[in-house]
Amino acid sequence: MRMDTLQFKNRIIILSDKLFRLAKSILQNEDEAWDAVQDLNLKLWEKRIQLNEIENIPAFAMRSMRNLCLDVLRQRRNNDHIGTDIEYQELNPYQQTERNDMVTKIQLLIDRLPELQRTIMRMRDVEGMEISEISYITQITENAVSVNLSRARQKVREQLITEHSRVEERIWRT
Amino acid sequence: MENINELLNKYFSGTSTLEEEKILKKYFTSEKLTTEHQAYKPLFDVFDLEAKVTYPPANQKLTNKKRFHLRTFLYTSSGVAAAILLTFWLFGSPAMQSDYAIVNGTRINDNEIAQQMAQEKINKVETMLQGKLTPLESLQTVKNRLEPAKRIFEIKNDILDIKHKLNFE
Repeated sequence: MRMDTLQFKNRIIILSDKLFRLAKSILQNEDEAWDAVQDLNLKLWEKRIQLNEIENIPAFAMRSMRNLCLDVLRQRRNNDHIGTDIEYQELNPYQQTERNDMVTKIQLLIDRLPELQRTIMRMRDVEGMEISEISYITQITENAVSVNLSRARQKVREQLITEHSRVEERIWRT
Repeated sequence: MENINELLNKYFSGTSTLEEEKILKKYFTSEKLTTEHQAYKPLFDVFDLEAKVTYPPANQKLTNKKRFHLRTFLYTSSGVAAAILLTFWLFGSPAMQSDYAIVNGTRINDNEIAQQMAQEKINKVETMLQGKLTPLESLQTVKNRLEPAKRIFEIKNDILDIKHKLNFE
């Protein structure tokens, strides 16, 4: 049986929000994430006949989305020798005052984790996915997923606690 | 509360189940938090907030695309305007009968020389403009060609909606 437009809409287009969030987390750019989702939709539409053989279409789409985004990151690195994918680092004082809002600050903390860690953390904590699904999407073992997940959460926790006590201290002093 | 601490420890060591994480999320997004747990609230707020991010429709995005169009338009239009001004400057108004040129303030009446000089200038400008405009033109062509491809899904959705509505009625 061939996948028709209605089926395609119900099985692929319906995933757009999730795919967009994943692309946005990896690429850290909304416009590029938007383009990436469009590109993926086109690619999947072209391969719609093969899609019927796939058991877990949402996981397959997420995996394809991540691979496509990683290609974009690779291209970006080739074009620009200064890497735009910022890895984990301390915030400088300027950024600290600029992003005083805790929620924004935490988003920034997650964004600064290495790609694999932030992707895994968001798939688990934002999308609520099973470790087995994340393992399939990221193409690493379930054990490696758990290790990366715990590393990501630990790093965020450390910064969160430091940040929290800093804010508390300031409140008490004034 | 001990239960929450236990769950938090499991959470940070990456061993909590989805069910346990649901309990944590529910607890931390509620208002009744102990002081020791306040520090973790923003983290769970972030998850809640990020889960609400939706895929923006085409008309809400790409502000830089508009800027691109404006810039191209300015480059192209200034090029065209320069070319028109130059033509009038070299040939005088079209109403004039004979061709002449003014070079360094002296009028040259000899048709052939004037035309030759004008032709030279035009060629020079043409090559200059071509060099500058070609990359912009090809960029625009690529963008234009991609445009319909991006629309496919919007159109498809529209068609589906219509089909859907037709089926229902």
